[in-house]
Amino acid sequence: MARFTSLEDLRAALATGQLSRRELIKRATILGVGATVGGSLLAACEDDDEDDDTEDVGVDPDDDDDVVDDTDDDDEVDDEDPDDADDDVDDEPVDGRVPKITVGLGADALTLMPTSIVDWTTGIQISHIHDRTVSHDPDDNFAVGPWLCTLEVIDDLTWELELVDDNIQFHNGEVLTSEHFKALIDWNLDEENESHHHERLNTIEEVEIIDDQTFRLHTTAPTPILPQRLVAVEPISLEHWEEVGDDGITSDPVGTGPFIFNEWVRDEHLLLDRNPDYWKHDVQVDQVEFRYIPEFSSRLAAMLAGEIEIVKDVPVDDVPRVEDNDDVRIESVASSRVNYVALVNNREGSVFEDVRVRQAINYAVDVDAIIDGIFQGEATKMAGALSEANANVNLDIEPYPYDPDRALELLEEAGIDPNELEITMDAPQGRYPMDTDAAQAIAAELGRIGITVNVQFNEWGTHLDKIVNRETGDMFYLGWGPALEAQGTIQELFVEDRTYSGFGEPELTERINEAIQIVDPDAAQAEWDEIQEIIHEQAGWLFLWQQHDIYAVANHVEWSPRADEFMWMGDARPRNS
Amino acid sequence: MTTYVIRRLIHIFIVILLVLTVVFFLTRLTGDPVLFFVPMDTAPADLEEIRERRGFNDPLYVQYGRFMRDALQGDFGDSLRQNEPATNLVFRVIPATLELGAAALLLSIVLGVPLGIFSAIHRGSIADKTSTLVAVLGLSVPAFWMGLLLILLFSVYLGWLPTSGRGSMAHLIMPAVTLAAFSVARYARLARSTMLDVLGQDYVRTGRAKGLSENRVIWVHALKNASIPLITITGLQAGHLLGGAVIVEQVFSRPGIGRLLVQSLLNRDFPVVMAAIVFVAIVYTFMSLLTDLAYAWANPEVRLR
Repeated sequence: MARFTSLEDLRAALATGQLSRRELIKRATILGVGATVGGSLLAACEDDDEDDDTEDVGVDPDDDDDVVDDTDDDDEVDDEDPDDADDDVDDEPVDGRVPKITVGLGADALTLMPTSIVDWTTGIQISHIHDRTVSHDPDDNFAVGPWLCTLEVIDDLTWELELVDDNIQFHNGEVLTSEHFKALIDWNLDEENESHHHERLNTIEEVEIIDDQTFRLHTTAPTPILPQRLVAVEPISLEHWEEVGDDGITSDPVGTGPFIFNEWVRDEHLLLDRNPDYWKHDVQVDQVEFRYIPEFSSRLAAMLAGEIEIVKDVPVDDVPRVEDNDDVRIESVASSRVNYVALVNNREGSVFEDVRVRQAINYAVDVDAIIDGIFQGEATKMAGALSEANANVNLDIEPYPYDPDRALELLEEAGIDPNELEITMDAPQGRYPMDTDAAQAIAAELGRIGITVNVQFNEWGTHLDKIVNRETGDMFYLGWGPALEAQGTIQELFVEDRTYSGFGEPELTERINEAIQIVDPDAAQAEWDEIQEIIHEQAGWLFLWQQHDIYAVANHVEWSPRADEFMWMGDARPRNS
Repeated sequence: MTTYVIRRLIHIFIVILLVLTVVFFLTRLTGDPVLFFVPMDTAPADLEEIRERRGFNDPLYVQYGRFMRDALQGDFGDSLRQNEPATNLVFRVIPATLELGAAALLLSIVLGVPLGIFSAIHRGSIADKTSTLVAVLGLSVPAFWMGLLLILLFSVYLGWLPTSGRGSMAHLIMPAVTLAAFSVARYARLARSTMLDVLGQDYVRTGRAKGLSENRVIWVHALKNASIPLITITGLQAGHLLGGAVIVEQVFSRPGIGRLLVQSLLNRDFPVVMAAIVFVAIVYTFMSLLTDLAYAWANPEVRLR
């Protein structure tokens, strides 16, 4: 193989075709210059049609593999001169575009038809091709704010939506109008279509079109949660829908989103191209691929091999392994997903019928110690039923302190000898971060005051069956989320007859049923604040923690995770690695 | 011969009916499938309505009768999660599994048989002991662990091969090697023992005495006689490879019948489970039939009745 001892040699080799551009960058790096200089050298030898933006990050937009090669090259820089490598590290984003971001997901999308199936993996992918009607605003504690539309309450039964721009275009050039929203909502309201969103939207009686940019939703009952439910309404090109039909739209979508559908190889990957005319902002990623890798260990290996740029749910135990890799960093965020242990009070003979016993459990478990010991700090203690990432949280509520003496006092007042108390706790295995260890730690904490807790670990489906059929022990471990507003958590988990509830208290149920009818945001918040205080006092759960979502992210990509688990590449951009 | 094949086909049909029946009742024991394909905030009344509409509230024998009636016409119903025919999902992944299975089988034979013959010829030598050790390792190392080690070595540290996916020969190498490891070892052990047996036969000694070259004695005369057990094992290995694909496809994130089966079982997607199991049963039983036919071809003394 030819030897190149100077940059001039490299330039000459490139000009004469002895060297590929990819090889040039690698060799320029070996010669002791940064990838950026290599890129500049390349630019000097390039034709006018070369994309200047991508050169700044030292990668070739035409060759995905270069992303991997460049990260390898950084290792070589480390070998040559560690000081130089340190100088190159800069957390600031840089100009230009990322040629490609590959996101490792655990499962394939179930469909590409928006607003039809409730499934996190499916929804994340669809939201890159389509736009949400309204969206959670991370700058406003994830309250619902404008996206395609602004939303205004006209009265308790009427909502008005207006497009934020009168020239938002689908990828096929069709202009977005009120008709698109009406068609999609009407499709969901038709029971025949078996949409998961049917029940979520079924208080909508009529979609009234005011003009091309404005429409109203008339509901049969006050539905304050409606804005949350409109987040998932992502309009489809009607021309395309008519052309390909319901079946066609599931695998050939045309939306208004930041990325244009390229190909979907089922069980393998979804490939999307940058939308150069995205209405909202300039998209700084040329291509996004969602690759399906079910096993987490394989996903992490792909990440460490430089094949993918982002993976979610890195186990706490694997964080040091990721941090040892110079090309990858850890990004962690307190998720809106909460973990709790239900203290089942609504079953005959349950020891948790007595509120003092429920409170005693909360005093007896040192949640902070579990967070520090098992989660290595990667969880946030919760005071009540809602996390700090929930728009309706009552921040005045203080968590139960760890006070085993107080726990014993309460048990004594309730006439219970902890040494004779034996409780079964049902827990899933591997569903939530560190759930097995956490369940055992909770049992051990209660064991310290004499209570015997038998932990019954279940396969996930069996766990769900037991909760739904009310066949668990008196305690069960569960996670819930994304939980961004009060109703979705409190109604579902504290009203006795709801599917996954383990708690029932008539007065509380009445208050909740009233709260879910209050449309005025301030009045509703006041009511939810009081309900959260009642729940805290009633100790329907052993309040645990907000999960932290831990992501591994390639250093050449500037992207931060969000508490609402919205894994969106629309605002990703290049970063100095 | 024709009568034999017809009778075996009838047997295959009965076996598949029995498999369908057993799997139908076993899957129903796993619990309520509806919880897996509706949002968690679905109200109990809506859950009940869905169960009713999908027929999950009917007595089990009614559900079984309905299922068998449709299944015998090739209709396993729609996937509960993906709203498309279960057979479509299965047909979509069959090429990937066949590709992996064929590569692994080829690798097993190409590596395992010569390795076994080599051991037999050099019985008791260091090479024989080394090949025995390799074979034992292949038989005892779990595919899951081996797959992860290969990924770490060849993808993460060396960067030579892709960690996962499907598309090129490079994507096929590690999964095929992992899947073949067990079979290579079995072929090697079997080839060694049968070859040792054959090499001690009179006709081999006669061949050598007549002045035939050692290569001709081994590769022409001895191997043909040693091949009968190898043919038998090939039929069995095809089934094992299909079973092994369940793990290998999961580790290497290759689409395939194994991964589909695991995912649909975990999601209680009964129609897909049934369609996939039927496919596996058909392959297994037909491989068994082909093995018997090949056995008769290799050994004219065997008469198929």
